[in-house]
Amino acid sequence: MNKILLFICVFSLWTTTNVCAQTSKFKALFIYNFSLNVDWPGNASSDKVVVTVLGDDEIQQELESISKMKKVGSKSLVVKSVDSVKEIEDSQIIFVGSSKSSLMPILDSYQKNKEVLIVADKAGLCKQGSGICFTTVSGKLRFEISQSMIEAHSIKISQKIVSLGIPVQ
Amino acid sequence: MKKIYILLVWVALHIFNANTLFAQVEGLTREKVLSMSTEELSGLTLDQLMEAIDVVGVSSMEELMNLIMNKNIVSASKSDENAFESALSSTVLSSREIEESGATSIEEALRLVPGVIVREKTNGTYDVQIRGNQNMPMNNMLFYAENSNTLVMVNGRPAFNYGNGNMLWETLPVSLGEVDRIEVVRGPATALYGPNAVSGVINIITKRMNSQTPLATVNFQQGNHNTDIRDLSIKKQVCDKLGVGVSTYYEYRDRNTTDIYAFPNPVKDDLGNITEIPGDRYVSLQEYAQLDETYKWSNDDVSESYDDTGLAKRKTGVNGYIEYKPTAKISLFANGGYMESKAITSLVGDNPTSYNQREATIKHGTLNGSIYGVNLKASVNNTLYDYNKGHPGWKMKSEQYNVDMDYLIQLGSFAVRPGLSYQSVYYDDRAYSPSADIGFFRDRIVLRNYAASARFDYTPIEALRLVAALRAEKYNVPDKMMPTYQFSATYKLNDNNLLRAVYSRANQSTFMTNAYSNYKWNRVGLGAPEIVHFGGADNPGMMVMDMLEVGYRTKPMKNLMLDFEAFYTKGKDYSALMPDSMSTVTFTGDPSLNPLLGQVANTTLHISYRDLELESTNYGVTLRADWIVSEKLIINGHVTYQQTIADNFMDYNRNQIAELQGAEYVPGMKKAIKDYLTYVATNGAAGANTPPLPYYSSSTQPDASEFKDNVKNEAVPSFWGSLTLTYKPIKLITLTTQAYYFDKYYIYTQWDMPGSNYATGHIDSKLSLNAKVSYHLSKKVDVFFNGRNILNNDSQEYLYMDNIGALYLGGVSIKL
Repeated sequence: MNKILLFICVFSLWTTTNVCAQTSKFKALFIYNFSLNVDWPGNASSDKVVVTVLGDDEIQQELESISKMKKVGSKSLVVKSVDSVKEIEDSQIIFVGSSKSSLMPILDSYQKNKEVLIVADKAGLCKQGSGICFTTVSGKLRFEISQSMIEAHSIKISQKIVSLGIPVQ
Repeated sequence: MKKIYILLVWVALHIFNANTLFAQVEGLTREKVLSMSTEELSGLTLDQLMEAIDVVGVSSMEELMNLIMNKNIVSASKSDENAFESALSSTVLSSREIEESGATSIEEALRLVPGVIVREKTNGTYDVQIRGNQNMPMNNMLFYAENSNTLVMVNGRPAFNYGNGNMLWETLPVSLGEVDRIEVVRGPATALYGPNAVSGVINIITKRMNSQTPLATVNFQQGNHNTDIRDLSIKKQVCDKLGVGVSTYYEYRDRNTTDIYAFPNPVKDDLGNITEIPGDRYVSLQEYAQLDETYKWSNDDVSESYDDTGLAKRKTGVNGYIEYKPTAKISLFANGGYMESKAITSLVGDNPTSYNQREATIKHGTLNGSIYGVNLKASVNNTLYDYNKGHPGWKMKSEQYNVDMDYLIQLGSFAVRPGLSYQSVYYDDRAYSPSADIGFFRDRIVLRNYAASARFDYTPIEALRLVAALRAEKYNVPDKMMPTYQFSATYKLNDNNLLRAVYSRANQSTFMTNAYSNYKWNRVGLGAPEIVHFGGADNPGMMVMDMLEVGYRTKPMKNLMLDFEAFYTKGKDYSALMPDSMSTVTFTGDPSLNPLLGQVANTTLHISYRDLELESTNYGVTLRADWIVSEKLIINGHVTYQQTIADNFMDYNRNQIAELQGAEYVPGMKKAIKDYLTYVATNGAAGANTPPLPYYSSSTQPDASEFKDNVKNEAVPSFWGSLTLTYKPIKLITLTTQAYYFDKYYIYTQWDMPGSNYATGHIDSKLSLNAKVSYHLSKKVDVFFNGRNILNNDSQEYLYMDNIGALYLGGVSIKL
């Protein structure tokens, strides 16, 4: 009986690890795609687009691998990883891992009036300040998008992105 | 031939279904996408990328982990927060979990929630308790076993019954199909939601509208005992700013018997010895009527009180919904509806049977809004209750008005949410009383309270969160201010381990009957006392509960979550109906009542709500586990162990106190009357020439030295739990099985049999096995078989109520 239970545990852990890695790769690709479709007026003269990942090592690693082979237009993609809100330096995109979702109101407060796109891993966080939140609908990866939250950060996002997302206010 | 047609249709649907489910985008295959490098994928535009990802799909595992282990909860803090990180003991039950479980009602769905014990009384009517402390004070009317400690809300609107303080579950004006999620907060939460959130809060939140909302949903199931449950919703997001919807529901259930239980009513001789105990058994309505008449139990018109003893529950209603978001800063959600209910369930009155037929008609409306950050909630609830059908004085209307507003100010890692609340509840029974002296209140009465509150949420370091919720509530009855509070803290050891602690205080409000009862029960012809007067207290007490709780949540694996909590509560300031005094008028001036002429004296028992010195202690532990074993198998389970202890317990019931008072003067009074009548009859040859007093009375009470400490109250089982397995062997089939177990428990009422010790009776432990198997005919249509208690463990779940056996249902669920 114990062996069966152990087998189930190991099997389920293996399954979980595999599927999560796959999804993290997809989310990283989404984030990269967002970076291509956002205009940060204050960052026009900079040669980089900084993506800071708060509390998600897998997404950070996937973004790192993208940054090694891709650019955001002519700018290089710089990926940073932090564990706390206070460590976040000037960034164009901040990704909030689901384990850090409770920090969303605090992050929103610190990032108020900054030109930043906040992307959250957890659905429903647009109400707390995120511009985009990942969600799953019938087995498909989708994203909620709040145009008003994005505009509140003085950045412009292409209508194409808006039209592909699930609008929320 | 007919069977062949059915088979053909089934095969056609199956082929259609398979094509729909496994369709792939032309040109892109799963293998092709999976073989693409990150560089290739990053070269795609977003729409191309989405198309490619859709072919692979997010694994069900990922989706399941989001749905089950990454839920949000609002009710624990009034803000959306991750349930894993909530400072309070809380659970979110999603519509998906409810639907898959096969629960046939909201109450039954609560069996999936840890720390909540649900026992069925009659088919579809339930007792629902959070943790312990039930049946306080012990040894009173059966009604005192009802739950008056839990605040139930629908979209934040209290659905609580302020008449005598409980939840009449059949009056819940919402169907299962309308529910988006049920949020349960365990432990005192008055500081967040106002009075009566003592053992916790159950907040039922209905589905909102968005672009993904199906235009129409239909749920329909029928089964034995004429069980018929249906709901239909039509909702449409007209544009980005406006959504409208309407839903209707109907639920009908018969009992599995038409018999009712007659309480034991001992017959005593002149010396007070019991000669016979009629009752204490289930009888037909005809036999009950005969017993009632023979033994003069009541003056009830039995046929009117119980016009359909076969019915368990009937409710039907309609709800309308409007969502309007004119700007990004303004969002409004309005919900209104009408419903009617009728149920036979446990008694709230003083009938000679444990069953009570009650009816309600409800009109309700709620407006929830956020206007430039100010959260506003206003609701109205107008109800016509007949709490005890066929009994004069129990029909009344109520109006309830609630307004709450708050505003969240976030300053970096510090947040404060100041708020204001107002509630007034009116009851009026004048229009429904057959005469001016019959009625519970005979007036329009009001309970009003208003409050100022503030909730502080501070995160000094990101691992540590400190929360303080404070609320000061001013009541009109009693005329006093009550402060309540809730201090909590969480500490994240890391992203997968969280420790938490809570210290909180909550209180009940007073209820209409406690404050305003003015009910005269005319028992002439039924023996002494001829009149029983139920009175309210001038300054009724409000029960207070303090709690200390610690908890630990962990995700040892990504697909496994454990939630442990240990609680310790102290309750005090209980109140109950207790006899104040008994009095007998021996000579009224009315010759017909003159004892000298041999007429019966007139005895009145004065009963009123009185504060008790009773205190309670409740402690226990709850463990919950959610384990997504694979995409095909999910295991959820919870267990609770608890003990409730009563101190300063007055082990006297209402009747015993009345007997105590009668014993003080009745023998002397009888002797005086007899002696004087003898003196008159014998012309002074015998007896005594001292006329009896015109008035005798006693207000004696049990001596406080007799109060008992450390008395176990086992009205809530010491142990209960649930284990649910959801298995999807193939994409087209979902099988959910649930085992629900509760341990033996005891209920304490005034209906003690001679020689009983504290408890009136017990209910044996029970294991129920439920199963639902759904076949997904298409993405839009499910057909299912649903079995509740499929092993037909046909025993009672609640004292004096029905045996609850198997319920088999078949149905269909459609989302268009």
